[in-house]
Amino acid sequence: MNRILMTASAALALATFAAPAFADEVNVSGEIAVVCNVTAPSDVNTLDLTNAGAQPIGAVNVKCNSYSGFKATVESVNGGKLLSADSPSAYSYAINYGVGPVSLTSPYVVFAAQPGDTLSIAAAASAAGRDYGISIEGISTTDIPYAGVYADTLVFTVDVQ
Amino acid sequence: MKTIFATAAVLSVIAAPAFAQSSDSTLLTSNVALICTIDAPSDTTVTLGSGSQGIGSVTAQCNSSTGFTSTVASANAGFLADSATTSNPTKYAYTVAIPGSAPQQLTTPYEFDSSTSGQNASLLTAVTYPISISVGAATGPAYAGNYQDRLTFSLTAN
Repeated sequence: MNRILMTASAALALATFAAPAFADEVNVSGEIAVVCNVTAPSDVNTLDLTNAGAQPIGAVNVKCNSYSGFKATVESVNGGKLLSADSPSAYSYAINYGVGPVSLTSPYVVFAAQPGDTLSIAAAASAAGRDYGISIEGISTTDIPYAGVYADTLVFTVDVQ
Repeated sequence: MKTIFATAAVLSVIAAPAFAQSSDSTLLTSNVALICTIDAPSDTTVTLGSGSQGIGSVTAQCNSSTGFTSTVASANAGFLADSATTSNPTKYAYTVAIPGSAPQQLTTPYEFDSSTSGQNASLLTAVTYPISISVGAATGPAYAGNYQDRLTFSLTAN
């Protein structure tokens, strides 16, 4: 009887050693960081203050690899006016990026790519990025056109949606 | 070994650059040139002792926001004097009349128009001032001679 029991115990021990004991796992992942970059047109010093027509100033370039799209805004430091340290007068103007003149009395979303706007999103994600041509138009003043250097700064910002 | 791999993976994610926002700017400038000009009448001959005589017009223009000053000065301090010799004692005093001002004998330069900062709307486009003079009697004997003076009109942005 004892022998039988001992044999049974040995069999049990063997069964326990046969169970798998070295399972492990590893997660593999990588990341492409979100990179959105905007490049404004070069500075412009050739604006004709007597010309209310469209005066192209170059293109804004947007590069953004966010699949959810992007939003670009433009803001005028002087609220849409060309001002001069030499003169109390002001010249109003608007910008046009192809959809009609926009007054910059407050920051303005000039272009955006929503999720699903695959063409714009893909273009912005390309190596060349997406260009938006910008014109200044509607330059006018109701003030006295005194001599002076009139200026404003346009600040372009791009952000992910 | 597994612990080492996990640590390396976490570090690589943190080190990846992320620029979800970007800004750039364009400076727009344009210049309205300063234009301050004045044109005197052409040289003219006047008749001595014949009262007020028009000698032409002065044309002035100035777009300075800080204003301007217009003056007229006489080379002989308000007299017609012999142009050939300074030994001729005879002179003819005269006055210059410019609209907006009382007739002046120009013993010193006279400011006939001006504006202050922010008030210069009057000369943004060219303005014409008709000028006349009145020549008085001769001082001393009316010796023969060619009597003349030179008027210099000046306009200066303030």
